[in-house]
Amino acid sequence: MSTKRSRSFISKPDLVSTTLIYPMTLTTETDTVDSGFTITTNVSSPLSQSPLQVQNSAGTILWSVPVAGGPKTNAKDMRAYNTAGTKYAAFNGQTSPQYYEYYDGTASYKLFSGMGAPSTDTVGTASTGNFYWRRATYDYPIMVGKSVTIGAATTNRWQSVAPTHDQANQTSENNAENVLPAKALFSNFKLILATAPGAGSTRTHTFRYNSAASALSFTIANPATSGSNTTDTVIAYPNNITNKTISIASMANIAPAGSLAKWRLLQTAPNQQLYASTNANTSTTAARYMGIQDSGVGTTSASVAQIFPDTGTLISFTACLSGSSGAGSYNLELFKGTYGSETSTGISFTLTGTSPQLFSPYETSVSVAPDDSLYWAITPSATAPTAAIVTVSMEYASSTAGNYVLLGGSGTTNLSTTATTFNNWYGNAAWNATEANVKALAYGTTLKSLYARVTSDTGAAKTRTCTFRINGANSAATVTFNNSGVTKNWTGTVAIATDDDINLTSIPTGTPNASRMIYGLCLNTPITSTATVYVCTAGGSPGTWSQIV
Amino acid sequence: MSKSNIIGTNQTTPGAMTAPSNLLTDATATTGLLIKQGAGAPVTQVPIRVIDSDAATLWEITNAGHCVSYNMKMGANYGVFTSGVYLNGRNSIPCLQLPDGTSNNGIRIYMGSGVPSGTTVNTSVIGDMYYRIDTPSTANQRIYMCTVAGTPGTWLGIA
Repeated sequence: MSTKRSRSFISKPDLVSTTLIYPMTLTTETDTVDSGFTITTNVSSPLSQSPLQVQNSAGTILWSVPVAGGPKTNAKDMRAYNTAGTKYAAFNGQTSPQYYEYYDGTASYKLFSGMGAPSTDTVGTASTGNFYWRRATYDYPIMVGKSVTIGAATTNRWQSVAPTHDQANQTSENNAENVLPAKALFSNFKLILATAPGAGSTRTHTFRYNSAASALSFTIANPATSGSNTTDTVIAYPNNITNKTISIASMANIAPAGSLAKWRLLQTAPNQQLYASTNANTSTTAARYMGIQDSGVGTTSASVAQIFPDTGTLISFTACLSGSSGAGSYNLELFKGTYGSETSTGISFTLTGTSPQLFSPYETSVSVAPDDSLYWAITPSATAPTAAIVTVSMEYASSTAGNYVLLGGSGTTNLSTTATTFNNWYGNAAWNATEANVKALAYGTTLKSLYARVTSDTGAAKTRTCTFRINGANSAATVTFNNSGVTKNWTGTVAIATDDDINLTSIPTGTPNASRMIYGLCLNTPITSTATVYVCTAGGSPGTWSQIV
Repeated sequence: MSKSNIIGTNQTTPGAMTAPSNLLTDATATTGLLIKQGAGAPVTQVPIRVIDSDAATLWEITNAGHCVSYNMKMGANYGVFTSGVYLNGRNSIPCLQLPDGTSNNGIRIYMGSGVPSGTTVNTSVIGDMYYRIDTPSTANQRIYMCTVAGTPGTWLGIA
């Protein structure tokens, strides 16, 4: 391979020793016209291994070809020169931000793209005449209600970004973190307490990014019962090397009065993000299951499967562990189909460490339609892995602009057959007898459909009604099971205002058969930013930009 | 030792080389095949270069880290990839060419100063776009679209 001399590999089709663990095969083709020289990865090579890498003499990585994501430069560029070698077009991969570049022999012209208006985050230092394509984005509300006391300690206690209503406060941030599937902007964090912090006490609630506090934070000082931050934003990125995750933290200056809480957050991006985490170390010896918008696991797929209420595609599947799996690994696989008969989608990961894995090929999508049932299966390898938390996420791209979903279920616990109970969404949690315990804090949006399924029909002359409630009152969104089938759905339009209390209720009549219930809600959020184009009229960081389309 | 230097061991006449690149296969989980520039290599030496039978350079990684070729395709016009996005340097004016879903005939995006001309765009087809850098504050002199194919064709300022 020296550039000093020519070598012929024709007589040596396999140049690599077979005594190595993952020997590559180098082949020079003699009987086909496909390739002059081929590098073939070993069948046993881990997915994390890059089949080819180029380094300079100092060991600096110049270029690599990973299994997933395509060839990469190392903060450099990929150039296509004209035949004279004087001009080039390039994908410039500088550290941040990246851009398309045209160099005409004397000057460079840049074209950026991103979310939001041009900023130092999306254009860095720009020059007059640079262009910026702005993507269309939507505000997807994350709307939470808690039936357990929010963190009441003088050190941080954590919650997932989309927790079940009964998710306990986590004393380890690992237990609450959700991995990111794509870039998103987080904002409009608001939390309302049921009980003021108490004399001399203040509570601080913070959106955490990559295990660190962000500016998206606020403090509630006694006697106040609510706080918000509607000015700061956090742009969060996925990263296939470091563990870029998000969570919510709560901390007080002195032990505060215990309190339930409801809160909301906006995730602004082209697509909704669906998060799931085992929230605790998963079994190292037995299979476990979780929903696709969930926190915690079940021992059966039937207890965690979630039904989808909308038509669209799932993309950008990303997963990681909270720590190394040691000698073993965890297989994570997505199943979809009719409830009880789901089959593998082909989306699967072999997880071994904290570096997030993006499913390869990255453009793979899974179509979903109303009544589809989905869940993740987690299977430890025969060689027991080291205990770890599994977190996985994906984007949901609805076929209808602005549509997004909330997915929930009752887990392993049957609904009451005699009493009215209440629940919200984000995973599988038992229905609660007290509505105030599960009310979630809303952001202006529209409910479009409610799909529900019971695991056992009601029995003759008995009913079970599931209704979406706003501020303690029934809305028009309701389905009734009356021994005529285990699936029911409602479609229509129910407006939800910012700061409304929202939740579901289950009302039995005539003591219906014992059953669990799973449900999916489809909502719609108006477009936040249409796709448009800006041009830089004065250079700087980020400079002055004018919208021109 | 986790890596095996296979240069030399499989060559019948290694000869005397001053700064050979090393071709390594890695026994770890990070790298399958590593091409590492030899110690003492001059800065002008590229660690890897692919040439055709006519000795023309097809592709190389420069010592500065640039990945260079005359076309850089993401996807390809053969096999299952029937329409790739690519950096098109085939002609005198390199550009970004987008896929059209079926072939490599998607629109091309140029950038430059002044109105589209023979020095800033190649022979154009309808739909090609041109981003102009020198008049960012003048309406309809910032983005142009080709409305009549030609050299350079007819271009309409649209923003």
